[in-house]
Amino acid sequence: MSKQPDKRKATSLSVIVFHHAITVFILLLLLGVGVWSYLTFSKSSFFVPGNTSNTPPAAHTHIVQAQLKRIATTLETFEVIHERYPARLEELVDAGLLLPSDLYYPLASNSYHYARYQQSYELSLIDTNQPEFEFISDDDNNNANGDEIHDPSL
Amino acid sequence: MAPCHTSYAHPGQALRWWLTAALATAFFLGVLWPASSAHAQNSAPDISASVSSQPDDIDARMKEMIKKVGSSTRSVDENPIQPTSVTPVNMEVHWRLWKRVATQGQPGTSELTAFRHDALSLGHYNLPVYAMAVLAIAKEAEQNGADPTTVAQMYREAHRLAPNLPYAELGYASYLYRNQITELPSMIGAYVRGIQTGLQSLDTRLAWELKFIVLALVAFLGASFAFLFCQLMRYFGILAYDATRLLPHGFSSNQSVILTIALVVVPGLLLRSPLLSLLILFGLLTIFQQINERIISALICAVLIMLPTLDTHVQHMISFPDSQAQKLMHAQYFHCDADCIAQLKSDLQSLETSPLLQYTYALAVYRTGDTARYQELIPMLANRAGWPSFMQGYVDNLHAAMLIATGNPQAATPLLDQARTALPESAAPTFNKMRIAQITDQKDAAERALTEAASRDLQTVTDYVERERRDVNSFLMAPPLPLPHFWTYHTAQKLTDLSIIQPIWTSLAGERIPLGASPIFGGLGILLLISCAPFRRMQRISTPCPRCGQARDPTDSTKMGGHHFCLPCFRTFQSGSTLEYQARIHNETVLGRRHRTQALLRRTFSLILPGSGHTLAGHAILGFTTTAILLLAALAIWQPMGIWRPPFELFTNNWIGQRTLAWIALGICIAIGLSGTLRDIAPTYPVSPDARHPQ
Repeated sequence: MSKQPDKRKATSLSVIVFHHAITVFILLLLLGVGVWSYLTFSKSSFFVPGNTSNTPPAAHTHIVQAQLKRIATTLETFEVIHERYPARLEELVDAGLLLPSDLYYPLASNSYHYARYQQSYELSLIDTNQPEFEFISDDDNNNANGDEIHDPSL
Repeated sequence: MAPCHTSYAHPGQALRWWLTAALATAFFLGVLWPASSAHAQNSAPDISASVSSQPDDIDARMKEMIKKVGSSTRSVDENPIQPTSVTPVNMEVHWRLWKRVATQGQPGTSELTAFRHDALSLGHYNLPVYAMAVLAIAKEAEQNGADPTTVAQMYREAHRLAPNLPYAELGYASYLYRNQITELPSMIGAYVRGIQTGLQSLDTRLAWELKFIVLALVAFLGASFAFLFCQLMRYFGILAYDATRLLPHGFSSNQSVILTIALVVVPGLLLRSPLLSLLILFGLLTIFQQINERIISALICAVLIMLPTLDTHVQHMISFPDSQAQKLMHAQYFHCDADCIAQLKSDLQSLETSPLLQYTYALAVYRTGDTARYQELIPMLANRAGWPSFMQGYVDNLHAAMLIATGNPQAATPLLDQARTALPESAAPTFNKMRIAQITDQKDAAERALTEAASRDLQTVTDYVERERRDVNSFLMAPPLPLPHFWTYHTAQKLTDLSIIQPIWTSLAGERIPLGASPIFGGLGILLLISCAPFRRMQRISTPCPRCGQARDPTDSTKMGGHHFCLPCFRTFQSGSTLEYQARIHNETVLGRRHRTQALLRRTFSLILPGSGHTLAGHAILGFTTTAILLLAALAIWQPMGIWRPPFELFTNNWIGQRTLAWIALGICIAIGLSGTLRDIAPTYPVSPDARHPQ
């Protein structure tokens, strides 16, 4: 059983020549595409990993700032509840004020640097690909130059 | 051939799932549902309304307010309003008192009210940090088995601390869902009000919208690829067949296929653009599509047309955190301390002056209550030419408030009349007029003004009257600008390149085809869809045989009385008596194998990616929608927190029940896919003027 179109095709010599001409054309086309592809892609390294991050740096900056603001807000919330800043950022997660993923966002690793002082704290993100983002809160009472408080339990 | 039925199985029937479905409905109705309609007869307390919606209660409330206003008239004089005597220490004392009371299992409403009044006197408009703290303590109280009334009152106070943020309402809805599942109307009411408030607040709305747009675009991209692949499976044989039929004599079917492939591949190779090849293929396949498939194709083209606009919109949303617009919004809606005011003043001197910046600075200084500093601002506010018309009402009201505060109420009256006309829904100008009437001892005028102000915004007026303090922030109303002004200001700023669509586009389309060319592709696609639409009805193109999937030549239609099968299937299965016995046996074997292969493909596709089996069978709208929703739900479960996360948010990744909604959607889509796998999906058949419907 054939699914070929049911039309009467001429079987004259011209049709046969035309058919073979098309075959030659297709072969030449494939050959041309092959040569062109070789010349075009011969210097391309398909297996060398490039920059896997699709997020442009400028957008990354805004996302980081938003996340720093979010963590800073929860630090303030923790402070008004417990009258002290947490010793570690993980305390915010334990207190249910942050999600665990918040400490790993937007980078895949926990790169937040946090230090608390008597009346203030210092929060920043260390990104090896970007300049350090820094966010210092509570400027009125900023004691960032003072002694850092260390939790003896750590 | 039986028509395709779409009665699909549902997931579990547990009560909680049904209630979650009701929440989902409420979510979709959230934008349109009036907040008051959902909780008209609540038995659980309503945390947002400090006044009842019952007319009798409103009258009683009004009488009480008028009495209060009348009694306070005697204590009002025309002297300038002095700065508040409240200090942050007062706030701290009331806050600690409340925490002590809360640890004893009491709601501490009076302590929190005193704390809030102190904060308002000091110029705080919303207290998001304290509201979050109250929410956290309410949740802790809930876990400790506190009295439900106490917990509800804590949620109410959290809402009153930050009325422009949605989290107290959403948290209360979540609390009722966990603990008082029978309070469905209250739960839905709180949920809807929370969604409405969230959609009005830029911090939350932009985060939600950005997340939805990005996830929806990715889901749409995936569904489009699946749709294109299914269309390729369905129509490529038809395309090759018609190409052979239409090309001059001498072309074999193999040559037609090779040339078609070359037509698709070569332009993409030359421009190093895989997307170009896909679009050419898509364009060729659209020639053969039926009407429902054309609708989906038109949708894809519409998205291509909108892509650059969407990209710009997404960039504006991404750049909102840490932007000048967000800082100004926070200064107006939260609190602007001395450093913030100094920064605003510095910006006014260094940056290009904008009315929004000027108003923010003026409002921040006004909220300090330092009337001596008002004199430097009054000329700026009086310069009407410097303010856009949409801000004029707010500027006039603030100007009038400053004049009243500096002991010049007579000059404020015409400004308030203008503001009252410009702001027909705001209670502020009329409320301030009431204060002038109080100062000048016109009791009747004060009552009329109060009545009008209450008719505009009863809740705000009640809140102000209850404060009973004589500082500028408690005595007079000077509201912040509506939030759309901040978004307008932000979108007018110069945009740096923040595109998250551009990298994906470049990886698909190559560097030689910019994103700006996508509307051209979309427009060409729409033109092609429209121009090729009549081909089927004119019987110029072949259609897929619903039985074997091979091409049904349009010229065969007359031989079969317009039957929708291809000629071999028609002769074998419909009019088999015309064939010889051996030929019939052979055809039944070959065509039966093809029929089973088609069914296997549909079932397998439906199992692997729900919706794709339906698309393969020709049910494009159901198939595409199922695939898109499935991908969107999966992405929402995978990335529930979006691109940038709001600064003041509930402490769960299932707030507003988004993951619950996503799981419901995912379950429905999987059920559709499994149904297609188990029952097979009846393919569509060509509809032509002389086609007969299947028996």
